[in-house]
Amino acid sequence: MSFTALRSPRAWLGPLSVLALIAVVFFLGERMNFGPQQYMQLILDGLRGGTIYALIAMGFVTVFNVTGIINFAQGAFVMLGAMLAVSIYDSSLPLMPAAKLVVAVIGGIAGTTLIGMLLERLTIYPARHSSPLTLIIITVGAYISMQGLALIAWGAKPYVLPAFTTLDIADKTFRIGGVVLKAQSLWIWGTTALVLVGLAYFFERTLTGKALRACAINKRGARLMGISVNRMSLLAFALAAALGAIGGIVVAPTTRPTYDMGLVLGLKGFVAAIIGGLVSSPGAVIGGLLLGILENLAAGVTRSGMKDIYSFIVLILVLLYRPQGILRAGRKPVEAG
Amino acid sequence: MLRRALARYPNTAACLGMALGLLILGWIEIVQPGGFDFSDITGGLVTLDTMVRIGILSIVLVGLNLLMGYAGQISLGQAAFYGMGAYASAILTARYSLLGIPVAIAQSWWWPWLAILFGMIAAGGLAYLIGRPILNLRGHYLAMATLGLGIMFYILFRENLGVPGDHITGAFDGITAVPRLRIGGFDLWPISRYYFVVWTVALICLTLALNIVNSRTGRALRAIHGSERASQAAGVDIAHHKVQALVVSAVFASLAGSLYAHFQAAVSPKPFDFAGSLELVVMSAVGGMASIWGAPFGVGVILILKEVLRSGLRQVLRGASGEHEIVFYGVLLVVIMVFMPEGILVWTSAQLKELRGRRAVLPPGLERSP
Amino acid sequence: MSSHRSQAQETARPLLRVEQLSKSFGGLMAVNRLSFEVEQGQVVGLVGPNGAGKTTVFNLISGYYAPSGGEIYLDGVALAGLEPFRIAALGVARTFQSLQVFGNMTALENIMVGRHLHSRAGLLAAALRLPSMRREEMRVRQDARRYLERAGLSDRADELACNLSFGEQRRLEICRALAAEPRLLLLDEPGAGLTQEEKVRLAELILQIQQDGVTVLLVEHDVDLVMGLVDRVLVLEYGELLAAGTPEEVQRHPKVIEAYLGTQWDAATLDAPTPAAGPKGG
Repeated sequence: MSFTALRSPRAWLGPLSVLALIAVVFFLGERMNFGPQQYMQLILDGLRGGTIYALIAMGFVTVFNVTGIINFAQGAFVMLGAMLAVSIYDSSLPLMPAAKLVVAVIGGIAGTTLIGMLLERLTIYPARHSSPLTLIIITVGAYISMQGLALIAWGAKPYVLPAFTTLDIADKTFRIGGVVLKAQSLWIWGTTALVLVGLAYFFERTLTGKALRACAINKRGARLMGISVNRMSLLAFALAAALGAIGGIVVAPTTRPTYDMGLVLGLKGFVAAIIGGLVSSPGAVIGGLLLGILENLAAGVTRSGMKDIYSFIVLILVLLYRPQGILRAGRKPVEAG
Repeated sequence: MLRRALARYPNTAACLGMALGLLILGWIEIVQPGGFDFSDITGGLVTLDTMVRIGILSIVLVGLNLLMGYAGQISLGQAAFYGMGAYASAILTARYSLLGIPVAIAQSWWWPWLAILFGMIAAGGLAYLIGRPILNLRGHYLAMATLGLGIMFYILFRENLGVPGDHITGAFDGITAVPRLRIGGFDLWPISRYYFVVWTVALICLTLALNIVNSRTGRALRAIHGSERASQAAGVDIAHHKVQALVVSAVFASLAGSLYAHFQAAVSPKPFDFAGSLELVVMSAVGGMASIWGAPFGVGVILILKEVLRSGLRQVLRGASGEHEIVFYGVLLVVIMVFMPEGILVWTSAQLKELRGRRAVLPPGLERSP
Repeated sequence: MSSHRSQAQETARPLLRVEQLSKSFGGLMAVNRLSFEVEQGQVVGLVGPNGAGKTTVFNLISGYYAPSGGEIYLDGVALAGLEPFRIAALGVARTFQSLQVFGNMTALENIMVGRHLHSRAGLLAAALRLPSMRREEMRVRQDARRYLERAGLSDRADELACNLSFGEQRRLEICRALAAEPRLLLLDEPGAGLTQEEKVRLAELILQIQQDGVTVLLVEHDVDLVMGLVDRVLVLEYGELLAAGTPEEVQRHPKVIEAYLGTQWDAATLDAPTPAAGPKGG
């Protein structure tokens, strides 16, 4: 950052407000007599939530890179993944619980992926030449359609998916110096790490992955090279749906999935993607983790009902001061796309 | 002479026509000449209650269409401003003691009106403050920022503005015992009176918006929608005009929110959540975003559809709650945006135009004043 | 004929002065220390192969890009860093390589937007339809009709701009720019996509504009059109000024001849391959 950049308030207002936010957290925490243990606990739980945001954010990034669309329906994939898995697990399949869980996980991901592809063909594809405003509203409409269908299918009551380790509602917990760690957190982190490695392999090593990346870099060029952009768009939605479903399924044991869980999770995934710059998967992961920690700390020291508000404060701050994300140095004007 | 005058001022003529229609409708509903009851005939769908709701939401929609359809700036959080008006009125008139306002003032007839004005100024002021930075964003960024704003306000309403306790906004339950409006000693209630109040205000807002559309400002807004670069080249200060559109839409929404609070005599956070904002967008899409006349049309269609769905769904689906209708919103929104992004009215008139050859059928709201 | 006129105005002061103007896009110098002047009342052509930075220069002058270095003066007033609408208010109007008419508005309304700077009615006056606003509106409408007549589009006044033919849209865009009564008019490839007949009409229009005292800076690939119109030519290459002078001088300029392999100056050499990059170029 050059010296002249410091003169523009945009350059330092953002970091300043983040610092102010952290100061407020510690000030309020002090009043509640928080010790390092409490903070650690909040951070650890925040990391767990943040990992989910990261998974969802990667879905946003994948679709945006390939199609230039922000898929508001991303949150619905999370919900569908969790609900489908729960339904399969609760069904009367004659299987051992562990095997049933495996089937439920696979079924949830596969089902959601199919729905994601269907969604692309039914809504995005016919309107692919529309204005951004229209496309935004279409994906919003797609989201609420799916949420509504979920309400009809599953009703409004919360469901339960057992923790992966114990196959029971009560999860195994570890105590490390007064900080409680749920076994499910390990599942969540492990899954996310696997997904990251898998994605990296897919994008770097496989032909399809490279074709997707080519679309992201230059649609025209990709088309000229004989890559079917339409098929890549379908693939991107499938991938995003799978990512969302994975997120929904691994988080399901720690929250009670409901038909409307997708809205807030989807929005926070978007905030995470924006923090990471919207075009990079590692950025999305960092964005998700940061958001999870920040939000959990802030909620821990204030009203818990206010938890959701912080991510939107972060969203608006980031959009206003660092629309290019926190990782990229250059300032790029925000364009419609 | 009258005919010529009406032809010269099509907007005024249409407003007068609409006022006349509403007057007759209200009269039929209230007096029930010859036992003719409108709500009976429509199976209880179109009651005075529905008509009042249509009027109130039309005010929000007129502003939203100005912002989305004319200036081309998406707002997925318009319910925030609507809620601001509702809560401003409710808090100032029902929780006045919290603010140390003497009973004598709080119970005078003009205090609620002052509260409405206060809400409008607050909403407009907020829109003005956030307008410039937020409207610099485009496309999805603006959509997400407004969405975030809407959810923030919903949470603030629900969480007592972030203050411990629930004495200000009443948390989930909201605020009850909001007084009805009066002018001097004249009560603007029962509903048969309030109906006329709401629609008078709605028609005034409609006229104001039509005037704005057919003016230098309105042209600037439409030009921005058409091409930001070209409108700048013509000397249009796009930031300024976008903010103006946002402020107008916020003020209208707040006004409608206040009318809503005095109509329900209570407010709760629910109508101002994301689904609330979304419902507004659906109404806008149905009526046609770039159409001021589309506003009451879109609201009417959706509210009546909602009633139909409610009674219909309950028969089809046991235990269907009011929330099931959102499937319909979703499907409707997708279908309209994919097949008729200009709204049902414009789409229909375009189809008619095709049928009738090239006789100029201009979309409502786009007609030019003389 | 054009050179004759330029001699008559040799003593005129420069309306536009560009000094050491630079613009880089991520390390790529699109415009590099470019300096030139445009005299009051002249028609000046800006030519060069694709990617020479012509449109970038336009975007810099009209404020769509902020320069990386250098300064632009309009009649002594510094323009660099001002927002486009402020520069428009100072008297610079422009058209775009990719047509930018307001398709959602009628031809007449397009021109009325062009009169934006010459009307002042605000939001409140409009909402309440104050008498002052109604009078102004009437005046704007009359003015707009005059400009529409000039574009030869009077009979299409109430047609949505998107329904006009390509040539009509071009003329509409130019007259919208004229309606702002600019001192400097920037025309970005006004002839692109026009038929020969339409180009003749365009040339007449531009000469008429000049006679009204408006200074014109124009980017154009059609060399015949440029040579018949302009008083001076600026040749750009790689964002730098290769040559400047009257059309005759430039055609004899050794650097220009060298750059174009000594062949005759004709459309085939100057006009680089048809732009492939759709509407993005503007």
